[in-house]
Amino acid sequence: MRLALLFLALCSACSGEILGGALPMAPGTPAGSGGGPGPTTGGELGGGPGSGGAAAARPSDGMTLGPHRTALGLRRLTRREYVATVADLLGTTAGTASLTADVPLSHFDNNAHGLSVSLAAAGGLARAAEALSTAAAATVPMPQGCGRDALTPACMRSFLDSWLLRALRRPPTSAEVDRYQALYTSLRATADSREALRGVLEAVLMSSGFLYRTEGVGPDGTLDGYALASRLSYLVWGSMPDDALLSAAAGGGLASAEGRVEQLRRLFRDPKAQDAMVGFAGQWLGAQGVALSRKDASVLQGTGPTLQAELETEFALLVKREWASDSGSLRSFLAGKRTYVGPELARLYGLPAPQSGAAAVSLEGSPRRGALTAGLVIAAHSKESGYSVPLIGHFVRTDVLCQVIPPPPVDAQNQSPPARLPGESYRQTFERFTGAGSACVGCHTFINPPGYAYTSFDAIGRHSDVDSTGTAYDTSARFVELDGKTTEVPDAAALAELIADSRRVQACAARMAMEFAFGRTLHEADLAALDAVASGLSPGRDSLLQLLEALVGSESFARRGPTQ
Amino acid sequence: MNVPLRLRRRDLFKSAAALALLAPILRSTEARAQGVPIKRFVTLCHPNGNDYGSVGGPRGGATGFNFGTYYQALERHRADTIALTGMRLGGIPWGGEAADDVGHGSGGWACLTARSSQNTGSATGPSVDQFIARKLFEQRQAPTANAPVFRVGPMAGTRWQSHYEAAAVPVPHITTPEQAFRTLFGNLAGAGANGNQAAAQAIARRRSVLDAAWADCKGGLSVLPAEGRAQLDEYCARIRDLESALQAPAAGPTCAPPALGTLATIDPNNPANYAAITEYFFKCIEAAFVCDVTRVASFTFGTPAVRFNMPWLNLPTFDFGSGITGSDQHTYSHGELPAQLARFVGWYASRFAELLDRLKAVQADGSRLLDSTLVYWTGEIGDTYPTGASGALHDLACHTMFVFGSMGGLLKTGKLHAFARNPFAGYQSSLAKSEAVRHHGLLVSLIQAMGVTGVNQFGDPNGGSGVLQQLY
Repeated sequence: MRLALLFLALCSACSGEILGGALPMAPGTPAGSGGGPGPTTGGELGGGPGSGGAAAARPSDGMTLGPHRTALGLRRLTRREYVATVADLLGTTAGTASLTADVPLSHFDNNAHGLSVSLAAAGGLARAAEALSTAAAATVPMPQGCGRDALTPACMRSFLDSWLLRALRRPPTSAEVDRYQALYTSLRATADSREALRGVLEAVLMSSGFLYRTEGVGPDGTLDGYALASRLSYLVWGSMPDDALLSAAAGGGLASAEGRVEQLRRLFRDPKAQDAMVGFAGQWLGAQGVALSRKDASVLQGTGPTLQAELETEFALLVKREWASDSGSLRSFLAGKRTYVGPELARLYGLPAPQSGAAAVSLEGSPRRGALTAGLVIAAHSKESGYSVPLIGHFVRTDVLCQVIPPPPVDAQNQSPPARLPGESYRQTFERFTGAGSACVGCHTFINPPGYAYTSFDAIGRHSDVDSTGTAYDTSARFVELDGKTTEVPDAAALAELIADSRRVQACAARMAMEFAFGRTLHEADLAALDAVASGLSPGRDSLLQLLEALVGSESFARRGPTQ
Repeated sequence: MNVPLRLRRRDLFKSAAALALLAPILRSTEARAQGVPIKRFVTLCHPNGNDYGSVGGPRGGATGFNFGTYYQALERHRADTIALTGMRLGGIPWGGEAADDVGHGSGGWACLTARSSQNTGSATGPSVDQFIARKLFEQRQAPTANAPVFRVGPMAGTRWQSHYEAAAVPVPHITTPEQAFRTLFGNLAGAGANGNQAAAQAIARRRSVLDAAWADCKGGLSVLPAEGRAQLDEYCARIRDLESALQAPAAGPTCAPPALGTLATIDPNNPANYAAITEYFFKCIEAAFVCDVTRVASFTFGTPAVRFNMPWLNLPTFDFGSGITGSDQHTYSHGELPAQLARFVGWYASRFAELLDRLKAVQADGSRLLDSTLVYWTGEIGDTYPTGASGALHDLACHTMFVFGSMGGLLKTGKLHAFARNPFAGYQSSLAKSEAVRHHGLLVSLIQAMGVTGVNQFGDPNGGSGVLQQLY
């Protein structure tokens, strides 16, 4: 929708209050010109002039959060989490191809409010449970002295006592054990032991106890130890807690910030964490599910079949080595001078090609910097045929910096851009349409500059200094409203560095991590919690682990969140 | 080529898996045994506008109409067609006084639900396909409430789509042939001979499994906040749906799922593959109806507002000159280029004409599926080509829709109903808008024609109640 909205958002009056926050008038815009309601308090598109200057007092100053949504107290496993969980629990992923895709409600697929189960999705779950239970009935470990082909009732109860702890990620209640024991007995009347075991496994996989993470709380609203264990493991691994984490939960070891951070560090060392963090960063920056094959043939001309994989590898390595490593930082990830290219991508980027595989290369002297100029990210926010000023401009403002650009007004849809005049560049035409003097300037003052900085990149991140007529691209941009300052930047590389050094991007990363961890969008009541997490971070310099340590150690991580 | 399974339905119950899949068939057999005629429903959708003003839409007299340049591929189906122009969608996601009459979001959410998003970012009620499937299931006139949605082409956004099971519950799309085969026919291939007793036992076991899952689900409700309770209760209801579809086996006709072949690994994102995937999905719809795996199916090209590329048209990249370039339908729509737009819409029309060919093919028992099927084709917005203005009018008041099939003569086909004079031929736009007919009544007519009882209003109550009388 965002892509379509922006295509239509060529002209936007940028007026009115959106999501509880108002946009400021563009600098120099006369009142009543359609540029917006005028300067507002706290109204940087996050931390701008209204918030009082260069140094915002709090990381969340000016940040407009989403509409109020209560915590549900439960979260269905996403498709991604389901697959990872059954792999850990059962050692198989048989049949999980039947699961339907999740429909993300916001940046992240794990937003609980969007994880309803349609009938089609329920059918997919049923098919997956049937296939998984069939495979697992032959392999799931049985209690000592118990054979899966001749399970006595006592053996079944012993199995349930231990296995349900892992499957449900908490100790089963006696009612649950009794229910599955009774099911086994019932099934044994007409089936052999293994088939009855299969039926029990299938029932558990279809149960809400397995499929949903119920976040139990104590009288003070604090999550119980097992809910904390799941919150931690699904944040870091995208999968179920291991035995050590469940033991820590049982022993009360997760009640303290120190205990949680200790477990976080342990989990973070596991390779599973690296892949999960790529998923988090990919969803934040929209780099997941980008298919080059959707791009126009003219854009793909001259590229090879490995480009898609090499772009994905580049992004993954940027996350793992530049942000998630001990020496990594948000700045290195977003705007570092090193990236990772295979032969095909090196050719696309005009960089030295490795012999094989993905090699680290320096971007010194290159028009690129880190993930913000990675081909996969640019492709995600471009059209099929080429770059798009509003698409990439909106991406920078709303996704990278958590600033708010309202949807275009009704009349924006009835307007097409003017014809390009002889000798006029794309930028000049677009500026004539949306810039100073137009009714659209209110929003496009914010959208256009980052969009212009990227105009020298095509729809898959290929760079050129000149357009098809041989005219040099003008990628200079006057980037307003970042940490209360306006800065002139010559190109996307400089813009990326400017952004990566800002307090705002650090606060936005913290917000995204919290939304990913909590499975919901943040709202006004979360501002203090966001400040608590973000205030301890150094703009650009903290690694992903340090960000997560601040989050996991915070009080908000141990609480369910508002339920009304 | 189809896979000639030629299995008797009672032979298909080798495992509980087969039972799960074939349960719908069993219910339908029961329905037939009670003398309830089978009725089927298909919705077809395409992105962006579908008429483009006076240029290419249906025109002429009520019975002597022609399809215009955009829809001429449908000419061979004229006798089975009800063409409707001047239809009006509603919805208000944008705010402002003109909000209910413009916009991709408005039309995309409204074209099948007849509701606005109420600024929620989702449709606020079920789409007509899901509604009919659910109602027929509840009336015990259909084997399942499942109504698959096939999609060819990209999505513009994850929530901006047209098919919803309920408010804020979008229907996951089937996007690959492999997924379609697995979802609809996956367990048939492994089926073999088995007796009724074994099948009945397998059903009983499966019911026990789902009972246990349902009991677990209900047991978890009490500890949750209200909104969480509602979401979990929704899942409990879906478990009951699965269980309700289990029935005792009975004999039935043969069915032949379409073979996957090389399509099993085809890239659904590559536009060069769109035609092949579309053809396969149409085969699936035909086979699913013959096999009675479902009674309701939907097909959509992309989703609202998407940039649908058709590289085989060999159209040049259109250059607005302001960073707005592309060779897709959306970009061309903004470019006021009716001849080129005719090729986009014409391609959709050609594919849908092929689906109608399939539904009109004579089956083994001498029947035609279209005789018991209603097909509803809608776009998301109306005319996007106001002559002399920009090419971006996203008006929902001049919409062209089609219904195919008469459901046994109940609906009068071979007709064009032009409800509003064309504002782009000099007629005042506001008057045309006042003449336009909201599509709520059309949807009520379709719902009733499908045998759903007790429904005289659908979607937003502001759309009115009752049927669209002109259809009869």
